[in-house]
Amino acid sequence: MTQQMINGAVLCAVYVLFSLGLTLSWGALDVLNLAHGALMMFGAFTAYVVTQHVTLPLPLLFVIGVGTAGVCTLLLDVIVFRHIRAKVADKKQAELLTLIAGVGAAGIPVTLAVAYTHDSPFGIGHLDWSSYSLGDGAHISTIQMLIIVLGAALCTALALWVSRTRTGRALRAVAFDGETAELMGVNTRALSAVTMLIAGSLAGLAGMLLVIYLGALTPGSGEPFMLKGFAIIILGSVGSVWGTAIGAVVLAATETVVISQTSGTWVDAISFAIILLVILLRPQGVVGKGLAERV
Amino acid sequence: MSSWYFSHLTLIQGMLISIPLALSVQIALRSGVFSFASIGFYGIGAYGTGILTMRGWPVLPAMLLMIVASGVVAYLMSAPLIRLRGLYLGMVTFAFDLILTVVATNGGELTGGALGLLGVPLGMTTAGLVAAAVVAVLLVSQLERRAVGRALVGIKASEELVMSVGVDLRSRKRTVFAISAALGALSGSLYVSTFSTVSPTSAGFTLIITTLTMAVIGGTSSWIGAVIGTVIITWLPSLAATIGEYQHLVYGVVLVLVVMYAPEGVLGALRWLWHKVGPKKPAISTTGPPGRESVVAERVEEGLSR
Repeated sequence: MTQQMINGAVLCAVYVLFSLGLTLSWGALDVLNLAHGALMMFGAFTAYVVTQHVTLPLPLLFVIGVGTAGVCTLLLDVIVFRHIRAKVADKKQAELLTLIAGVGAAGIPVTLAVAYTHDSPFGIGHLDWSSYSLGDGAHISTIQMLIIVLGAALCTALALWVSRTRTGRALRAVAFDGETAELMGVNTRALSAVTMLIAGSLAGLAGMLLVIYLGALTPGSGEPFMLKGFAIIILGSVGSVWGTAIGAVVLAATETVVISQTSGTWVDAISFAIILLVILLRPQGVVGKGLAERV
Repeated sequence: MSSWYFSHLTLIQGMLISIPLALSVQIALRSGVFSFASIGFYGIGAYGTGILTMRGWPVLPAMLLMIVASGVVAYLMSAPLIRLRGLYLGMVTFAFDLILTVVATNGGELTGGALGLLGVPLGMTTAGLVAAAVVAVLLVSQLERRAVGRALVGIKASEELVMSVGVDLRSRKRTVFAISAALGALSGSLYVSTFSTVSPTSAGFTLIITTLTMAVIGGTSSWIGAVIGTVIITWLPSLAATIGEYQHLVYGVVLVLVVMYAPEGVLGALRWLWHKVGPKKPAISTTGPPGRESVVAERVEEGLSR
């Protein structure tokens, strides 16, 4: 039981890190980045490629993995998404083009990883972590503690940033009404760049922690994470940091229970079941406002 | 000629199979419905037809059953889905595609697990593929020409405007959703009865990329765009042999570039050329393909101002 709670907490922390980036860019910039999962994998993949050539200490590998995902997401925004937002005036059309561009962009890192690894799992080593006994047969390893602490700390930090700081307030203003925020003197370009960099870095961190904790990832690892990220966002409502945390807790707890009770092969289906249930039972959060209101 | 035909038969078959799938995405995007669901129905069509024919069903009834069932299921599914805001619909249908991969992998003996179905009876001739592609093109092109299709362009331009002139937006969107799903199922059924195999990954993320590229590169404003895109994407890898394993990387880059610089696709570029060099016409014409959308939009506006 204790062991399962630890496993669930680790899972939850990884989900939080991954989903925060996804919900941040969607909530603030109306960018649903469908390449988010692929870039999570790509950060860890880049660290793996580096370890194939040189031996580096683990913190440096983290910098490489997190940095790659962060910078790639930033570039994707600066080069592609921003171009679409600037060129396409119609918001709905811009959202659609952003979705499609995200799918296209996701193809690039995935294909590179598939070509390099021949579509097989890759890991970056560093598997020997000391483990502590907690009584009643449960163990917690240093990496598990690290993941839980990082997840909780970064989630809190992000929540404080969004709610308390000046830039956080500016971000919420942009999310509410970008044009007015810009008129009020908010530098929306810089703010969107920072947001995307943070979003990508969080994905990169999730990828690095996962590849070390699980021992390996595959080039396709990002896809099930997108599914989980969607479920968490839809549970916690878009753009909300604490909502994301709650969504992650619910999903991780449900998955942990299902894994312990069944053979575990259907665990990815839970996310989809959650998405469907929310749409059917609590559509208020996800359904568009009445058209008359929007005109 | 015939030796060329036989050495390229797989590509020709692949192209014919992809046409309904590209159309299924095009018809959704054209109507402003952010749905990737038809890729999922491609998987359902492929697995369904494969499972039925392996249990002794003849190909045609199995295909028809899967197509009709997909259309009906999609129509029922669409009731809660089309109320969703744009990005949510994209997300949910994307999730739908990904979850089907999970279902197919965990389906045990029925779906053949991770390996998928092998040795599905071959029941499709190239002539049959041509016929299916033609039927799909006729269906979509007729739909575009009729009032239903023109109202759909209006949905993309401005939902409020279309509703204000008395179009039942919800039922139109649901119809598009169902037709898109049926086209996806048709394509999947054709695939499995031509190549005799389907695996969980065949309807996964790479298929979403490929199909979107086909629809978007050609231009989503008309069925012609989807057909042009399918032809280009089918023959591109064989022309540039070096692409090889980097095929999906190239598709990804092309997709991003087209979205950025030519969101109207090849068709948009052709229309632009036609406007430049073609015969001059009055700004508002009542017939002819160029600029049909703007004509419709203006007509809708006229209706509104009256």
